[in-house]
Amino acid sequence: MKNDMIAMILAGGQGSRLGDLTKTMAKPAVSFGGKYRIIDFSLSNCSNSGIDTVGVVTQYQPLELNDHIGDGSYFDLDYKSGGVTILQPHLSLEGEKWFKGTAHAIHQNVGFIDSHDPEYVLILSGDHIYKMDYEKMLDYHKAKNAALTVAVIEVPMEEASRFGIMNVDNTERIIEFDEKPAVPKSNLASMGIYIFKWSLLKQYLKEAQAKDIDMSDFGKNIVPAYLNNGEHIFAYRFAGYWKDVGTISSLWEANMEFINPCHELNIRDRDWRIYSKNPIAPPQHITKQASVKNALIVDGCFINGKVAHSILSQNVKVGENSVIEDSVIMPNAVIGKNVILKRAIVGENAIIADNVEIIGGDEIEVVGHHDVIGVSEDEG
Amino acid sequence: MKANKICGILNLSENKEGLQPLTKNRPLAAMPFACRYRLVDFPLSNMTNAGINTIAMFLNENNRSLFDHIRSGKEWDLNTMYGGLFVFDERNADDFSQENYDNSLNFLTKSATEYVVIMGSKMICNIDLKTILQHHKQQEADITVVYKKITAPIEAGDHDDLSVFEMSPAGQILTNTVVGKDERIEAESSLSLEIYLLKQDLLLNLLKNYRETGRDFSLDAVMEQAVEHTNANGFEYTGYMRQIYSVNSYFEGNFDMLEGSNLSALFQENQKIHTKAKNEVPTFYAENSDIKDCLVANGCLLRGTAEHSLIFRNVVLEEGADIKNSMIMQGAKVGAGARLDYVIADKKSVIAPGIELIGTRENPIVVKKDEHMESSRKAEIG
Repeated sequence: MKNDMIAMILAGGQGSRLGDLTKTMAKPAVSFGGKYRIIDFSLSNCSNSGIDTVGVVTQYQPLELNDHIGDGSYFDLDYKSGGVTILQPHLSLEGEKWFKGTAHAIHQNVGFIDSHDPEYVLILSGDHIYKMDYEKMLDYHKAKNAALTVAVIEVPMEEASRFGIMNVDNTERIIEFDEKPAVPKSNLASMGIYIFKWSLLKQYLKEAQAKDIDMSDFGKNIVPAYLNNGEHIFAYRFAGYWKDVGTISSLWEANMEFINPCHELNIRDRDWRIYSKNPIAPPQHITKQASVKNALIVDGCFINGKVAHSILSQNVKVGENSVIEDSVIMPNAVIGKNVILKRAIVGENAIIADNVEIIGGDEIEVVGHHDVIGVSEDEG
Repeated sequence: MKANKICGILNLSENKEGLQPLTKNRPLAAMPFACRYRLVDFPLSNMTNAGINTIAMFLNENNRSLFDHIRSGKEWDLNTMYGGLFVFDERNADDFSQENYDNSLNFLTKSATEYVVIMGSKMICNIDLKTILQHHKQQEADITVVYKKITAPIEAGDHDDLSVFEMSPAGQILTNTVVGKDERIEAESSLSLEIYLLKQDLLLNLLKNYRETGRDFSLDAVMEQAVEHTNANGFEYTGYMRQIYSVNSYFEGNFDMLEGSNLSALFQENQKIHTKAKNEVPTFYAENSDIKDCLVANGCLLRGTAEHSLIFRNVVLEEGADIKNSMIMQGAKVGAGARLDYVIADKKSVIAPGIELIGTRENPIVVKKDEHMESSRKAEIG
């Protein structure tokens, strides 16, 4: 059966600016908002947009990601044909196929894409927090009869030089692309979301390989090549919450914003659910001496201390008299007694022993996954 | 291949009258428990945790809620190529009794397992069935029955019909006495959990023999008789246990879970209790909320005050709502300023703002499923 559009999620990036949090897992696998991992947003968008075939391209530290996605059933993407397929770099007769860039990763998976014979391919990065109906974008792409449609979002002009900026004419056709321009001509930033006519993209990739031209990156190579050849590229404007959580401070900030139940993302909207793996855990146990204010808590937590303006992921334990403020605690972390945590991110399975104080300032303190901080009195 | 393998029979044709009106539209096995579970999760998880992947479910009533919960059995890894979950709905049979005998004999013959374990859902426990199999083999018993030594007496009227054993020092069951609900059960009694493990061949024979007597199909009766007429052995269970037979015992069982020791005994890490996965958002605790001594599930919006209560999935507690000693079940809404003490608010019920529902521990006020409660109520004392 011919597929209209399949999605390819690029989830191989390390996200090195997240430091300790991406030492042992790829950025899309990093915990977010208590219950989620970053990739849940793009995967759920696919599922909600009616896309039934999704390739997740992994490379860097994929264990956590593979485990999280599983057979796709948590995302309602476990179909007999299609569904979610994890695509990893592999050896072949042509040699190693480690991905050298975003477009290169797609090139190495031509076989997978062709096996689904799509008219269009949607390229996503698995590291943004947003809700988007890709079906609407496809409708737009078709209406414009575009070779490529790039989703763009208006950013404040003073920040525009941090982004890939698309300059458009009055029909929304992209006429110029400036990667991180010193003097931006517009404030339309690329969201790294592309819809390609697959046959044309494949042709570009093949020809580049034959002529040994570097076509490894969408932003650096493909988009400029399309522009040079006069292909029709259109900008698709997205309005709504969109956040790149590429740094510790942006990850922390996005989490803090997420606590507010009136948050623009509207996570409680039943018509556009964000799916995730649902772990088995007993209910949240809030003890007699606990205090929980302005916080998001997930099943499996045991809280015997004070939690304010924070997010606690599943199975987090908080001991007696401990205080947690403005912090994000990732799954299975254990916080001892009399601990003070402020403006901090605590990684998965980390252990904070009794009486430890971790107080972040302008810079958010980070405890890595599996780190053990302080020695408990029993052992000392 | 069949050596040491066990299949399971979930005997869910259970008496639920004591729990009305909560059981009006659901079997006992589908009763919600501890914020995010249902009673059937316990026997089902116990079985699958022991590697049992062929399970028959015997039912006798409206089970939509139960099927909706179990679905393909995926959560218990029962959606396998071989084995899985087999449902025998006793209501639709023309000759109810004959068909049930046939079904059970068929199931047992086909399951190709050496042993069978039988459990219901009215006794909440978390038990390691592998250890029971080991014990069973060591004792060379025909049937192993699980019991618990009760530490306090159970007063007349505080229980359903229960069985009590007398055993030899080696654990052989000498007598099996049914104690009617109007009699007291003394402390130190060995109370049957009505969990049986036996060879599949033996159960086949027992069923055939029982059928020949011309009596109606009743797995309970077959097993009761078998305990008396074969070499039956007791296995002592020492973990958390509660028998659910009335609104009150149901209420108390849920509140047991507020004790950390009960909660960790029943939901122990190495014997997980599985349940239907729901895609719920994290629970939000507002700045003005005050939640203490509570169990809470995902998906809630908590703006009010709660103490010593169980808050199930997707509950909304509006500002100024004040609940104590209550169970607020899935999707229920408690309006602003409403005051609840000793209340069971069933699924999707709505408590109007400002009203007061004051029950007592012995006589909690039940708000029915989907009911909109718009006026204050007080439990009658006595």
